[in-house]
Amino acid sequence: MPTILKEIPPRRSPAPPVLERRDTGRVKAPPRHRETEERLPGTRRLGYLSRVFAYRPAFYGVLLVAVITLMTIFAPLFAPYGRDAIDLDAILSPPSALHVLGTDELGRDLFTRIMYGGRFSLLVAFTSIALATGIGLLLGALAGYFGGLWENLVTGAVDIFMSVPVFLVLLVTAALGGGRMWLIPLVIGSTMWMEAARIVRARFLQLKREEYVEAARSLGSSDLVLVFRHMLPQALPPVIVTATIGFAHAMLIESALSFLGFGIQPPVPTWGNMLQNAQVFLRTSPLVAAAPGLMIFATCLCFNFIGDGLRRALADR
Amino acid sequence: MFKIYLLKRLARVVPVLLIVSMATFALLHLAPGGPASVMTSNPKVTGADLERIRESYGLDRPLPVRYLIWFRQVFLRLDLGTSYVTGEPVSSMILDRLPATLELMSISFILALALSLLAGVLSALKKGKIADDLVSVISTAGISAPVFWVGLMAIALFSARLGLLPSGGREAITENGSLADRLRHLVLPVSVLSLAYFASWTRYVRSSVLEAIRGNFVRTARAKGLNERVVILKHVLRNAVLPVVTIIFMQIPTLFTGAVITETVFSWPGMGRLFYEGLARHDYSRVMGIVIIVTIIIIFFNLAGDLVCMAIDPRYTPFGGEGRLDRRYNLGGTV
Repeated sequence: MPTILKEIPPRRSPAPPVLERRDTGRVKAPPRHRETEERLPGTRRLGYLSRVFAYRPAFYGVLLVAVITLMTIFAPLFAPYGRDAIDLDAILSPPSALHVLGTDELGRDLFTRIMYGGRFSLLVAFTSIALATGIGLLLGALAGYFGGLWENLVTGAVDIFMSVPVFLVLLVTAALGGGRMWLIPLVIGSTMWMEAARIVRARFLQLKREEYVEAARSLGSSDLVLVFRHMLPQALPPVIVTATIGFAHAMLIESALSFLGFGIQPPVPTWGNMLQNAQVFLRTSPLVAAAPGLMIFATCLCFNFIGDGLRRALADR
Repeated sequence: MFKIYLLKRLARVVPVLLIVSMATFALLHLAPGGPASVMTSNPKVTGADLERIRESYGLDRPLPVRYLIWFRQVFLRLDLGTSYVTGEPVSSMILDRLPATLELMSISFILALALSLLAGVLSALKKGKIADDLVSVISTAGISAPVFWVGLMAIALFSARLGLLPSGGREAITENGSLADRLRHLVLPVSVLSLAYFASWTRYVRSSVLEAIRGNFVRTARAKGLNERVVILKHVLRNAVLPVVTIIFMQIPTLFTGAVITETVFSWPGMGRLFYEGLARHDYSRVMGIVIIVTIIIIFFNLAGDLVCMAIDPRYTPFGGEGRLDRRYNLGGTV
């Protein structure tokens, strides 16, 4: 038996439109365009950076990277000793008041060398990944935008680079380079561009079909404007994620090359080449091996966390 | 369709092999001093000797001619040449060292694959729970730590400090190759090598399973009332794990390159160390031989992987098109 409503229930009065007021007293404009999507209750839409930092590890990663970078840049100001200064009274000494982390086999202060060592480790990783990302963006854009011959050339190049035993060739090149420092980021960078190229190409294939690109083209934009002004910025975010994680990878490669003795040559310290002789003294002074490696580990961990944060924020868009 | 693809794909193998071998060859032969430079450091070798040595190795001829000779020797007569340092045939040097590398690699590979499948699936199914966080912390730490440093630290702790395990080598001379002794020598290198691969593969397995769970076919399976176990085992895992395993198999060649580091740290008498020693002693024919062998292995695995992916998912293209699969370029885990 159907229930008969005696009276129409009072309609809840619609909530008055909430107009957020800022301190300026101006009414906040409603968002122009908002996709309906599932959102955890209580979370509000955040800016991209805030969303990155909402992933706590990424936030602490950025902080720690900033601290490490500043420490290495201002090493001459803060370091207690000169970079190559030798203390003959303290060879392989354990941590003491004079030498916070102890000294290496030549009596050089470990803490000082770690501060200086970060300079080259960070610089090499940065230039490598900048180069790789540059090549990747360019080749990916060419392949995706023009297709045809470019496409074949780029996929062919990727095919070749994918078939190279990269680390072996890196070792050969670095070994034959005879300690030319600029060679290291060059070779590392030239073997890491494929991921970026793949992403950019795939993105460009989608973007080419977008209406706004069509519109820009019909307004007479040249290829250059279309690619660099309209399409490339849209392809950048995932590339930045890759580059961040690639930074950690480049740093690991540099440290491995240096550890094997084919990277940056002593007495210039890098975190990798400081580990070169450490194996001999593992038994007596494990800290000589532990400390530089820990710096590599910490820095790479930070960059991987930042990369994860960037990716999450991107996926959450 | 598949046949055409196979032919096309095979046709691409030839130029790749040519270009890679040419580039490596040129790199080694254009290096300062060239391949015979190692002899110049020997005081007993006079200028005339050097000329004779160069001539006997054919090093006095122009580079393209040398490449052609080398090419004929390697690919037609299947002869990798002799070592400039020891005079031994390169192929027998490699064959001597191969078993040690294969032993280390196969155990690490199987261990890493099994663990990463377990951990990856677990962490995807428990997304957002403690287990997931734990797996993600371990795997992120694993891809961030330099393999050689982890190795050094493991030696420092388990060998130098605790004295539990040997610090390197494949077996102790005094033990006459007993199984227990060889196993003890395997523990550290295998753990370190597989940790690195475990870390990167786990992340990949996890994201692949999560991607599969979001698929429409999973919603359909649930909607028609299948029990969750069947949905996960038969629908999600079958779709998620097969492609991942295929792509992980394509990573096998990187175990060879990664072996350079692991074998150097643990004094493991394998191919990786053979390469490293060859490089340090300027033994270019050895270096060239190993590079070419590993290149062929990589090309083979890429080809096989592409074909399997193609069979699983016809939308697949090696460079990552519209299909669900794409070859992951940066699985890391080698250094």
